[in-house]
Amino acid sequence: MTAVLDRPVSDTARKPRWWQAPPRPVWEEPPSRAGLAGKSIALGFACLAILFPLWIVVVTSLSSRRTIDEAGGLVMVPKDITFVAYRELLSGGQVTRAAVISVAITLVGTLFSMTVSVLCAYGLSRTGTLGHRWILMTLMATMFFSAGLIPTYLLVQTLGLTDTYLALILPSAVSVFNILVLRGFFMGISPELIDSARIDGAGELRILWQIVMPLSRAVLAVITLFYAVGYWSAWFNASLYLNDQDMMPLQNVMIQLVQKQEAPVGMGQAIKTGELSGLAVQMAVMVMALLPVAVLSPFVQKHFRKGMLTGAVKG
Amino acid sequence: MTPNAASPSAPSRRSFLASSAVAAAAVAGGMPLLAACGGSDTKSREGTTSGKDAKKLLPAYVANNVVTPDIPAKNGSAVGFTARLDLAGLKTSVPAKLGKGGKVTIMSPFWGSPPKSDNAYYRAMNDLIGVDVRWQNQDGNTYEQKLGAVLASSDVPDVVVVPGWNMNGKIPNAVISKFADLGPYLSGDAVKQYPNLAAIPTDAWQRSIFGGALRGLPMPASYVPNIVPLYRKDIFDKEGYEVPRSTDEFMALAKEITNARAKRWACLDMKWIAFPAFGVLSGAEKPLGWNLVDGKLINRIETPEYLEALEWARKLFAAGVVHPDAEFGKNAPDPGPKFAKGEFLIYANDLSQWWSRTTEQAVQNPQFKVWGMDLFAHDGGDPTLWATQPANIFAFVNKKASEAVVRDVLAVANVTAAPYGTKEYMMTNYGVEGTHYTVKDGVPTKTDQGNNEVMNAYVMVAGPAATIAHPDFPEVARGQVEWQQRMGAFTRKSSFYGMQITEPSRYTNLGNDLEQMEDDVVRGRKKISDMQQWISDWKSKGGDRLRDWYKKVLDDNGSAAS
Repeated sequence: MTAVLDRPVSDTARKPRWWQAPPRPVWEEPPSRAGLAGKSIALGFACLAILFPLWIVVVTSLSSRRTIDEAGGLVMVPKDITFVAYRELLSGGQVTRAAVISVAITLVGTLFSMTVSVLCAYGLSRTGTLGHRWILMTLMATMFFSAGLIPTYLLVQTLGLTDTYLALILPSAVSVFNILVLRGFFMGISPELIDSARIDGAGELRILWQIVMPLSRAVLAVITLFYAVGYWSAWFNASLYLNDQDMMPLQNVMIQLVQKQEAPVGMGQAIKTGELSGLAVQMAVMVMALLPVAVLSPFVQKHFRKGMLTGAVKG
Repeated sequence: MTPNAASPSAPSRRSFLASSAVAAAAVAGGMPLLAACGGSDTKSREGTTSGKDAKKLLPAYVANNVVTPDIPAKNGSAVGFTARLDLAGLKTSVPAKLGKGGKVTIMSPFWGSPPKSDNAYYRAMNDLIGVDVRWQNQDGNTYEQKLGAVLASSDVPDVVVVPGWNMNGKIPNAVISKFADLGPYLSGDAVKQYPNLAAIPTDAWQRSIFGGALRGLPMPASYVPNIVPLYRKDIFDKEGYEVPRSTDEFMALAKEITNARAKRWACLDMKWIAFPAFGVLSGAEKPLGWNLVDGKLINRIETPEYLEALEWARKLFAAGVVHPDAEFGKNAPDPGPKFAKGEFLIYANDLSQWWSRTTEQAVQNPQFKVWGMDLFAHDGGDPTLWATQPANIFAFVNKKASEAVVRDVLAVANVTAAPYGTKEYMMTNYGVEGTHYTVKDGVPTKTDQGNNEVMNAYVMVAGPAATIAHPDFPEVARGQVEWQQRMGAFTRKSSFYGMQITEPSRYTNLGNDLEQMEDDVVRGRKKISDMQQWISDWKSKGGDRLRDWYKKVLDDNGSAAS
């Protein structure tokens, strides 16, 4: 914009009219009708490509077995609206309890992970600190070599963590990738700022808390989101380390509910599904799993956009 | 190598449970990480036990005459019950509690949403048995990982249920080193203390011998092939279609049915029907794919019939009579809704779906009728069918368990193996009358509480001889049992039928991609010549050595097939 304003008027006046540079770049001109229509159509298609599958998921979750069978599977046009799949999911209080557990695990886990990751990343971002390179290499080695399932299980079991909620947090508490992204960002903060804080008498923790973290809000938001989504969607640790059904988080209960519709045939284990179709339950589970992410994402979107870019460049 | 994983039309693990039919699944691969499973057992971990050695281990068979089935077993079929349920007429097969009140923890795979650990069904069962059973119900879909980790640890529950399809990698070795020999409690006449266990068919016990000892409590199944071509009988009757008796008739019928513009196709992938049509050895489990012919062991994939079967299945795709969903192979959606809609009229799946599809549609679509087509030979003659395994889910007792715990576990199994028509069967499979189910016109219907609580837990410990009973649809039960009996007449047993064989782990991954190859050939993505090349590679990569290994097993032990 400034380039356009600064352009000398005499310069344009000397040239023939056809040669005149446009007063503004073309993308700053008001769009022509055709351009507007084209953009609208393109964006409309893009929205449709995203919304149409969601629409099908929601409509199928609200359809009866008859409608689903008539459609031969996924339903596009709603015929009868029934909440029987949601009723099935939410009856018995199991989902509610599991949701509370999942929220608690997500909150506590994310807080813990962020604390550990930020402290670690800050320490590693101060080059020249004791054992800095060695610690960094050790951390990175874990990205390439993992102990495997059974040794990890044996470790968790030996620590007495099986059948405790800690088993859902500790084994996946730290992501080296996230630490590296944070470290990259912290290293980009001007050292003068930190030096001046130090001259003013601030200690490392105070520098981290009052200088580095406020300047890193974007990347912190992204990493928080990464951890939170990770904890929210995790199910394998629970299926491996927990035996008590009452402790299962939401994702595991959802999987079980989907399987329930497919599982019990014959041997007196029949569920008279009647108007309830297994497909409707699967779709209802999808809707419920999508809901928290869909509700939260508008609030963190702006940080997310900025932070992603930062991570991409600095990581 | 398993019908389970084979195609969208193959049976699911759950339907296996339901039907008691065998859908064995020795999928190669699995858990390569189970390194810590070794034990101090010095007996051989590979091979099998049969012949004279097995006879010493096997429990005596004492038929259970408490209940007389409406259709007795014949040609390897299940027993069938078609009468309405008469609650007052239920028999008692366990007159006195055998449990001594001890605590037993059982880890078992579970498909669905497990009930709370303290619920009315578990309490009633424990009260009936006299044992305090604590369930560790684990997600059935990730059970193999859990199993590997638990067996590698020092903290193994008192009882662990292991389905055959999870016997991969090091798990068979762990079974041998971690679980108790039940021979002292069950071999020979010892089993007579537990009458319902004594009535379990000997074939199923034979399959429960692991590492030279009787370690498993089996869930018996019919050995008749379990994959049925299910078809829409209502539409067949309306349109006047005849059930085909040869591959040519099938093709002609398929072309007649198919009208892609009207969104109707004849069938889904028919690979698992093509195999029996051409007399190919069973693909349900690796050892069943070998058979002794003129003194030489031949694998199913080496026979010309195998390639002919694939070629015929390919022709169906090429002719455009297969529903487009089948192109997706394993990732195809559940065939239920499109079958109900009539987009295709024939698909192959587990016998149990005959009943489950019927019950799904009964309320909303009363004219819907699904029926099972007889398996046919390619030339219109009698088909040559190959038996599947007579048991494929086992419960094992921890080697460290005391005698009191083992006795309590056997008390549990003696109740869960009670035959249909007894109070114990009803309790195991339906729960408490009035709480978990109600009976109307002789048809038991589960209540909401029943649906939530009475799900696969106790039924996993041990089961009665294969049973088909559907009081709600007796004609389906009759149809299923009679189908098994007709097909059973053509069913032969291959050399390793009934044997529990642990292949050396170096062959675990051999032939892993066979199914993908088959699916590619059938769908026209690869040629028959590619398959021939694959088979040739398989032989050189270990197939021939595996043949020698199997031959030695057979020479040392003899065949269990009779």
